[in-house]
Amino acid sequence: MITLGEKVATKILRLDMTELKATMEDVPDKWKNLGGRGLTSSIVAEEVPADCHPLGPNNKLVLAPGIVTGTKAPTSGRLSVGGKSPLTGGIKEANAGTSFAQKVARLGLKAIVVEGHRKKDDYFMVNILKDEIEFHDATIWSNMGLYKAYDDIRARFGVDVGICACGIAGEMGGAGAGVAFNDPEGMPSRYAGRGGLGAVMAARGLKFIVIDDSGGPGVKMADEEVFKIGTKKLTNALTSHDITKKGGTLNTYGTSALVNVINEAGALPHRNFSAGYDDMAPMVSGEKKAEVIKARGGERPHACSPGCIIRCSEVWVKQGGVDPVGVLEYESVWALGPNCGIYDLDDVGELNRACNDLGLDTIEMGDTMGVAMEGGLADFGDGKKAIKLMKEIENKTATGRLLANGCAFAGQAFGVHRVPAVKGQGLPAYDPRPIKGIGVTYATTPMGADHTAGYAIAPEILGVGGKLDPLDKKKGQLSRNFQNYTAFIDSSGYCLFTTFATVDIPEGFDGIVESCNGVLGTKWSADDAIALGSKIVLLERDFNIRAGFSNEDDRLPEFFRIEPLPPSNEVYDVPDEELDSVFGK
Amino acid sequence: MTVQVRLFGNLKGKAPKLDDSGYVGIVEMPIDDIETINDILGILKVDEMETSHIFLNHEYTELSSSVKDGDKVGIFPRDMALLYRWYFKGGIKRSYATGEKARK
Repeated sequence: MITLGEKVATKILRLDMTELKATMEDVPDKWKNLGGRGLTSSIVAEEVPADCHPLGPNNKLVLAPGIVTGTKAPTSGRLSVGGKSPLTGGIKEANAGTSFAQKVARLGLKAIVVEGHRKKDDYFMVNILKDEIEFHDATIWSNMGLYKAYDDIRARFGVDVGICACGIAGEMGGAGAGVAFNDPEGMPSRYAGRGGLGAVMAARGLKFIVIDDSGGPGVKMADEEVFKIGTKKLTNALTSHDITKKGGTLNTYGTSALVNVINEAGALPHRNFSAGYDDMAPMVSGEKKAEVIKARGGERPHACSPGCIIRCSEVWVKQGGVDPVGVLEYESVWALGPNCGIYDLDDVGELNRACNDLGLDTIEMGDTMGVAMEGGLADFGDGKKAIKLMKEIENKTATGRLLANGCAFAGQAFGVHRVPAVKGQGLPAYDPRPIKGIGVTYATTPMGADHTAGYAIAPEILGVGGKLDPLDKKKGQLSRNFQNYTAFIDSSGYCLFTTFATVDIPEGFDGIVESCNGVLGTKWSADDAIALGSKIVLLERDFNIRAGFSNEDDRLPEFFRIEPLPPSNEVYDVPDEELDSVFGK
Repeated sequence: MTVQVRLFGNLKGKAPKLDDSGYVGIVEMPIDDIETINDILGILKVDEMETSHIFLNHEYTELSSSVKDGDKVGIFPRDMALLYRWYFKGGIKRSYATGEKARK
């Protein structure tokens, strides 16, 4: 038995999956002011050999809630997952909004480090309770879809438990496998999706972490007053800004409000990045989705985790209001929709359901399907065939294994040169040719192509001249500043979408920093927080250098540089020197 | 000799017809009446504050931009804003995310 005592706020839980043993240790001083991405990346950088095989015994899976996660801070239910990525071969952090995150924090755990390796054919579940860590055999849930498995687990352990899982895609070692978390309905729809961390989890023989925080001590707070002042400032910013307030963009349409905006900007990739605009895009727009959800009796708006005041999420349902999927995010709708030439929301919904059920990253899967379609596995636009191909993954066929490994792998298998990946990771829903700055982030972030790592889209797409013209090539500094800012936000526990408000309302960001000070007892200024972000990004970059990466890996694929994208007919022409300036001296 | 104006979100109700998706309002405006994007808002009786993003031929644009025959103009309502307000108006504020100072 392991007792989580009074001083729990400084504990790291280690799960040795070789010996099936749990140990609790104090957080060393050097890590005590970290959370989320800052903590996962620090642990991975120090404890995981950069040259290890991601699926081998020396990799680790690290989970860490953010600094304020588990408190009453608004929109802060985030948890980071880290490890060495089987998709990129570099360091990885992916994060999700889920009550699981809050439960980990409220049990006083700063991090869970999953170590060791799967010995036999068994899979295990680790059940974390206030006074006990239990290991259960979970092999019966192997080869089972996660919707059914989550139902079973909630029936057995209670409807309010938090659940973390890898799916069938992870079990087969697929580099496109994500780590699933529960949404408020208990479905596996919240994902730390990117980079194949689901396969890292499965390789340790860990199928589920189930957590119940009943009776937990909650998050220890150094200065309640400072915390309250900070969260009030942030709440004011979120509730007054057009994008984040009630009835604002995200609340009304969800992230899919971007479909029509980015399509109109000529930057929504269609049919494997071969066009930036298509008249069909409004068929899968946020406006349409919101209307359909309302008509069918789904739910919108909706919070992905308790305490979110933006509430951008939703519950997509089939006709007749049945078979809920969970949220269909902008990136997922784009990847599984326009990028595959599919403009039917019901087909997109079923593809998203299959990804959730199999434990797959929707972005990687959409990129993979787009490349496979270009390679002739199916016709662009054939949604029904795409849904059938997901069955190949479920059945672990050779084709299914190929698809579960991501778009770069599929590109090689099908002899396709137009492979939208950086460091092996598929690009998200913004073509970098008409929006140069996001391309700098795709190319240079240690994560592989990742829009969230430095969301240059928002400032730069407005090209009223000067530095932020989307076609201006001097974007190194913009991307670097965003990457540093984001690394701090990913560590704080706040959702990245708070940025929409805090960029316009600087007091909101002051509030974020002050609320972290309230929890930790630190005296960080806003500049200190950004400096911490910078330190985290450099730490991640250093891991990648040790893993064999160099400046030549900080490049977009050749086709972006030589194939003009209609309708702008832009190519990606940011010089290599500008890309290298992001982390250059 | 027309400009095609595409109205999104709750602005689509100001158009006489919708596109095939049913989610975009389409107005074909005679070019003779229009010099700039501002003139289009005037004809539609849409206040600048009701709008967020405006695109001219799939590039972000501003109200004073000139339009010509055959152009396509996309207009999004305020509740579809996804960019940062400080690009449009307001004082100089330091943004921690971009490290830039916003324009006047």
